[in-house]
Amino acid sequence: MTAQPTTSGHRIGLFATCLVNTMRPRVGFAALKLLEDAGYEVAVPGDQTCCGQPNYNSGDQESARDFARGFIQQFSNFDYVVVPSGSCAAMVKVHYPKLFEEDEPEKADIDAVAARTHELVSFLTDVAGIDRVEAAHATSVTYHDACSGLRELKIKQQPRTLLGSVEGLELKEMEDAEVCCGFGGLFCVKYPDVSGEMVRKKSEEILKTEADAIVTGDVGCLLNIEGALTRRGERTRAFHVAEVLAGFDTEDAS
Amino acid sequence: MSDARNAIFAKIKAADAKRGKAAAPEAKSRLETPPPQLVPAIGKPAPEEARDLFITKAIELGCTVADCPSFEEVPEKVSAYLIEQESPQQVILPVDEELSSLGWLAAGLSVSAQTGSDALDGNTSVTRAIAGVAETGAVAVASSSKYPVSLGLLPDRHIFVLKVDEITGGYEDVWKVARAAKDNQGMSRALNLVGGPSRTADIEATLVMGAHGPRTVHIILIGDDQEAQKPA
Amino acid sequence: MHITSEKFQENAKAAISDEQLQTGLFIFGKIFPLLREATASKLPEFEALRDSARDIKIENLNNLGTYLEAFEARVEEAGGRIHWARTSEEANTIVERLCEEANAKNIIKSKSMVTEELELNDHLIGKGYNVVETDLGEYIIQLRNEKPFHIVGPALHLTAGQVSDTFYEAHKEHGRTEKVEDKVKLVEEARIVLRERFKNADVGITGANFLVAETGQIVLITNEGNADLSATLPKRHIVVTGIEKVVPTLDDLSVFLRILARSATGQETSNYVSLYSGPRRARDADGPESFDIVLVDNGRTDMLGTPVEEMLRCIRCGACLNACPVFTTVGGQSYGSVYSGPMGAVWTPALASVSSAAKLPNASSFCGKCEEVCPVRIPLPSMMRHWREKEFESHLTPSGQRWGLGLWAWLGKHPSLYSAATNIAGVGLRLISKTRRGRRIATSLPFIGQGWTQSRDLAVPSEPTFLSQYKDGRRR
Repeated sequence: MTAQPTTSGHRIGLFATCLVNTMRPRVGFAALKLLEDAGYEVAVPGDQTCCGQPNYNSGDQESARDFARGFIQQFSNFDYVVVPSGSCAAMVKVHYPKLFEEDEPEKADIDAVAARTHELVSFLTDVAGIDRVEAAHATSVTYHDACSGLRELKIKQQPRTLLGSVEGLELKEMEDAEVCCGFGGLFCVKYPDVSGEMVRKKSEEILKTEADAIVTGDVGCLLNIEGALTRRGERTRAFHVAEVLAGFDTEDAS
Repeated sequence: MSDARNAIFAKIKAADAKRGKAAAPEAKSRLETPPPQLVPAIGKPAPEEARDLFITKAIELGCTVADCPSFEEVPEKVSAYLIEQESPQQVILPVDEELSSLGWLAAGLSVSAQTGSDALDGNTSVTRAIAGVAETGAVAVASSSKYPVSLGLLPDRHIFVLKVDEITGGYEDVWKVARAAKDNQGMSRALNLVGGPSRTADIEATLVMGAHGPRTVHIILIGDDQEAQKPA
Repeated sequence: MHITSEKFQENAKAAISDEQLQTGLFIFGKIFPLLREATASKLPEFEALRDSARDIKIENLNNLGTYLEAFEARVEEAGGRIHWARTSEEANTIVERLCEEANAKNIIKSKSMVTEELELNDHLIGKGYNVVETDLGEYIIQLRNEKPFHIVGPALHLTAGQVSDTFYEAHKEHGRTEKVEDKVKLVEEARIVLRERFKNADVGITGANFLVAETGQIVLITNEGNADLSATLPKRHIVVTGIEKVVPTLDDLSVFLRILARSATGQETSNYVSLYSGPRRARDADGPESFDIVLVDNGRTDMLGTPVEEMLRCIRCGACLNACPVFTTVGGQSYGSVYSGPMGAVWTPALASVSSAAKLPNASSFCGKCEEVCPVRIPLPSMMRHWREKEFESHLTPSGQRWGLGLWAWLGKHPSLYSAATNIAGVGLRLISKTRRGRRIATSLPFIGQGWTQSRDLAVPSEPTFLSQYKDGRRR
């Protein structure tokens, strides 16, 4: 099997990711809308599963390689693979190529698909050339820079550019926006005391901004922060950036 | 050759094999002809800027700096400094003719040349130096018959007498000076780059001067602005 | 190396509710990074210097044998002696023998992480020697019999009051009868007490920040000047250091001098940067009569040629500790190892064992901030992941986790079952959820989920999975 994109240059395979799929389906639909509005034809391969990051980060390289092979099977025939998550996109883009040696048969395909994989918001700005969205919402938000997207994929300004184009939306930056919220995949349940303290500190900074909502690009971080705020009885809402950009943030997700 | 040494080198060699490459013969030549590394601009100031940069940096490090037209005036400058510091008019000198031949007594200072540790406590030492480092404001000293390292560490106050043309640019220049200064004993045992008074912030992160070494460092700079520094 | 890292979780929990500890951590977590940022941004070449530093260290490790040999030859030319130690036992025995030969009684030390790794002090004290740390922070924790709180500021978790109590107890025998509270006075008291120790010491033991192969010099960097006193006053100077500390040339050293202090404390330079080679020369006015360097392996050669080789680039600046959201939440003592924070999470399994140190590389969210600030660009998260791989291969991963991961991998290969499982999970979550203020949340989850709900709720969706809805035709 060879990983060949289609010739149109406009076909996207949407990789939903486990957390979006199970815990926040609306993000998937928001991504669909944003990508179609930008002029792309979007398909959602039905047999997609996980990128394998939990196994990879737990030291189970073999399983990670299996997940990578599965991913290639689903996503090799698109011009782009777009992912509404910095950490899952980084898993594919940055780590998949490291999982295979040069002389392995899958290596070329893995590298090819990895090169065509993008996180959603940075795809819109950096590849599709979008600098504004149509959504309008008179509200204030603060943005949490999810670690993988920030440090592995250099996503920093892009969500801010698009959020800035939402009519009526005020972006209030928090202190320590780049500090880890304490999710870290399995870390948050394996080291609950440390994780709990990290998300408590993050919550404090969010509350200090007095923003109506906290917005981020990764559902793991989102659930973590939202869960901490809810436990404290706070009214701050929490959204994935795709939801806000697609105008889906005018009601609660659940 | 010891067993331990052999074992360690054997493991290093085995690791080279694992890495798939043997040690490069170029490594030895790197030692003979060191390739120059990146030197930041601050490490190679223009000659006419070195003096001012050195003074600025030395002050940032907590030194005080005084100009002095010539060696003859040094004792006066020292006396004035000690009055300002409300310290006794006495200094300890190393065995260095360049300093001991100056008019200390005439300036009202008592002088001793002891280097035994006890006599240094609470006192003021005056020494020469081999270079001033403009990049950081440190003063470079090298151990010798004329410079006991302890004389720069144990007294409460240390006064350096430095000539303007001894101010160099950056670390690279200091190494050159240090190598050139070696007599037939080889590279000096100690080369200290002293950046201001000794200090610590080990208790509650509060900065306190005079941790173990001098509480104050004063630099008497001999020569005027016109004597632009020439790189060593 | 003896460690108590298996207690990480309990230690961390205690540290989190220790208000005073948290105040100390604020200094490292907030202030030091700001200082680093301020100084680094003033040097336009900072990033390029980091690249040079990394490259020099790679060159170094690729040719370690050559540079160590050259270093040894230069040291011996200058009248110094080199001793090689494979293990901590060998190293400690060598130092003991050198002290014995000198008929020593009193030993002073300047800060050396390696000697803590070797537990050298305990060994020497056990043999009847008087050993005193002279770095103020190390001195304080030595008196209190504690491990360092931070590699650069070992006692910053203590209040001046605690230091005052410690000094009051310990200094009575030096004729100090008054309790001193003021920080300046405490430093003064330490200065006076330690000065006596400096003068009465027979042996000075230091570490080395760097070893210069080209010239056979060791480099000692402090702000206090205590290393210089330790290297000058006693008649015997012993250096104990790791074999990875060698750098090829003085020009190479210059690169490190420009990034070390900036990365560690935001200073442009430390106050004492000193280079030493050999014993006092014939005409020197002072200096030690002998100069011995103990080059320690203790697990370092085992790291060469492996995925953790890059850790040997470490220059012990502590920047990764200050950047780490985990370290700045729990402090150094939680790690139960001399080396803490991200660098400790990589060093400790290497120098102790994967099984005893397992908690450390796992106590990371892989946020990557450590790698971002490391002056020699060590890819710390990848190396922590490497230890997790070793753990997994050796079946040390907790069985529940291993089982869960295995199931997950299996589901990944069976998409229809994956789909069913995720839908069932969603249903399950909905069943245990409640509605609060219009939102569906689970407040208590079973098994490993308890870790989540101990401090968080979980927002639960009221709809089936995205993929199943898409399959059913939903598009918006």
